[in-house]
Amino acid sequence: MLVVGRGGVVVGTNDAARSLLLEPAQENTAPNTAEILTAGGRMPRWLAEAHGRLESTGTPPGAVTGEVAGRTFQAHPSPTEDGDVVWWLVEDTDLRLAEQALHSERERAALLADISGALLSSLNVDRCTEVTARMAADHLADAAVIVAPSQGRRHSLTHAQVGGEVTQVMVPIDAGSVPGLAEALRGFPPVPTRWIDPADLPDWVVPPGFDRPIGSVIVTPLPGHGMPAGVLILLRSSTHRAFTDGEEVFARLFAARAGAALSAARLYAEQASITATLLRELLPPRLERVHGVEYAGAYRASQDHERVGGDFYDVHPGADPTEETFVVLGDVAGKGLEAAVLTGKIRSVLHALLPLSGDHQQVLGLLNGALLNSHHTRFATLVLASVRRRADQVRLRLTSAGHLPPLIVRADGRVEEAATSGTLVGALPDVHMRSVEVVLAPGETCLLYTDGITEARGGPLGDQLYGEARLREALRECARMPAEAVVERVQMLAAQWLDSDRHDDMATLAITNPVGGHGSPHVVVDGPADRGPHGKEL
Amino acid sequence: MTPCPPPEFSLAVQATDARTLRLAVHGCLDYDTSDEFTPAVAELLDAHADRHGPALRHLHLDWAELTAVDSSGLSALLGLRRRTHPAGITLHLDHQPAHFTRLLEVTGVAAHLTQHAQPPDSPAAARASGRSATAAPSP
Repeated sequence: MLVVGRGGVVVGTNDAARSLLLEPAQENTAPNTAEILTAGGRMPRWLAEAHGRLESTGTPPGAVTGEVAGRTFQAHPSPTEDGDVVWWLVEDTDLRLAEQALHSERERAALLADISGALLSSLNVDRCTEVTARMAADHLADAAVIVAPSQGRRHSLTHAQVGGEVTQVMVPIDAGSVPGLAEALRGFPPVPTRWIDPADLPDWVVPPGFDRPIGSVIVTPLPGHGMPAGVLILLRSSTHRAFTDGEEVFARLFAARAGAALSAARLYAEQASITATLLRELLPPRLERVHGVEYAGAYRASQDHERVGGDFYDVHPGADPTEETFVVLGDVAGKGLEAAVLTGKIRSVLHALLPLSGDHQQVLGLLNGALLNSHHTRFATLVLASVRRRADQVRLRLTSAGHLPPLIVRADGRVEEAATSGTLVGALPDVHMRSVEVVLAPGETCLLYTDGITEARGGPLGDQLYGEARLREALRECARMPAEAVVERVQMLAAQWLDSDRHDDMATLAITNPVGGHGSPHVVVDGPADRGPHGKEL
Repeated sequence: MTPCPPPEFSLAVQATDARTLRLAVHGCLDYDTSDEFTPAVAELLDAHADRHGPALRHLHLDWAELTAVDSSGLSALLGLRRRTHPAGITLHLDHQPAHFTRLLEVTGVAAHLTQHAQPPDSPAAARASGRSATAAPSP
């Protein structure tokens, strides 16, 4: 408590105020810049100024805050009747420190939330690494390096510094050259920062263009799922204060978040790469016109985010126009990648059996033997077609192995079911089939399809099957259409019929004897169908 | 097949004696439920064997309450036949809805599924074990 009179003269003080404010003055006669000398003694400048404001305005201000000898005080004024002002000083140093600590904790929590948000939004490993390095350099240190797990003898290094570019290089490094790095790469706990001498750091640690001397270093693992996702090295220049224990702990928290995100991204990348490798082999082929016959296929996997499933088709063109083109469309029980792997096996077996494709019964018998398995009864149903052009006609030999019979769309709009039937393959010891010969005139199409089309559930009432009758009705309008248009129309109608996103795989393959001759571009015309019947391709 | 509400599947014992077991299949036998079918039937067959010994000769499956069946369901049924046939149990498929009849007809497996099974200790069964020559469907 001190009493200040008019003009800022200290009129009286109690013992506590005297020991705080006045005693240093007895040792040191020259006032420093934070103090002013008054008639009654020294007082802090911020208090003298507050007193001045109070005198000039006449209205009592609220409490003011200032520092005295490294401690903070709140000063509350209360005017006395004789015009003096009593200033009550209340120390709040501990409160301030607590508030500061709370503030920095809040900042750190916000930063952790930020990093989780920034990292979890990406499953790209490079992007995650870049974000981690950038945030570490901006918020934790002056520069940051992320050492990725080794690929062979080399490691990917990601450097970032405050206000600089993030750069990535792939270099061979000696993990033993940085204390704690080899351990951290194996996921062991970090070495205390005071054990690391910045002078021992190899050149590759320092980001390119970072020319300030290194003052302190933190090496901390980025913990991952099962194996470490890498190591984070934080660097502070010697002009900046060294890392505190609190900062070191926080760096580990940061590393834990970043490591989890990086590890998830890395696992995803591995899975995506495996799937992509498999997909390359399993994707349905692009179809085109072969020896004057149009082929078009369309495929929609049961789960729209998957591109493969249990349906498949292939067209193996004959070596020349006199040779038969071998077509297969099929469906294995099940969905997704598991089913797709079995389709891959069937497609390979059929490819190998191409030389025997003249005898469908034999091909299917051999395929059945190759698929029979004592562990499960996963089977396939398929349709084989051998296609050859004869003058303006296209001749087909069709064989169904437990599959929906192909539908023939005649030029006048009639739709016929090919009279072929047989047993599915892969589950029974013996299979039997009945093949059928079909002739397509110009403008006629043979449609091979899987039950995903006819079993599409939806429609006006929501739970009806699309069914074979509706498919036949739709095909009546597909007479004289190009193959491409037929498959697109059928897939579109089935997709429109669907009530929900859930559906089976849907595949369609059209074999069309084009209108307007097989040698010229397909144009839907109503003119004489014999235009150019003896095209150049024959 | 696509979803059939309710996507539930259950088995109920309709009648049983030492030689014959009659089961009713309710709901959907498809990609989502077919994995449950085989263990569910196996459990009932085991229970029957515990009670009557290996006397079972006929397993009737009643499909009147079947709402949907797809290739996975058919695969499960073929798996059941693999177990029952060598054990001398003949499968009978009763009251099939039209869509199930169509599936059996297209895939050509009806005759195979319901092929008469010889009791395992009979001389005919000894001859028939191995490759079955009578699995041909009538086209």
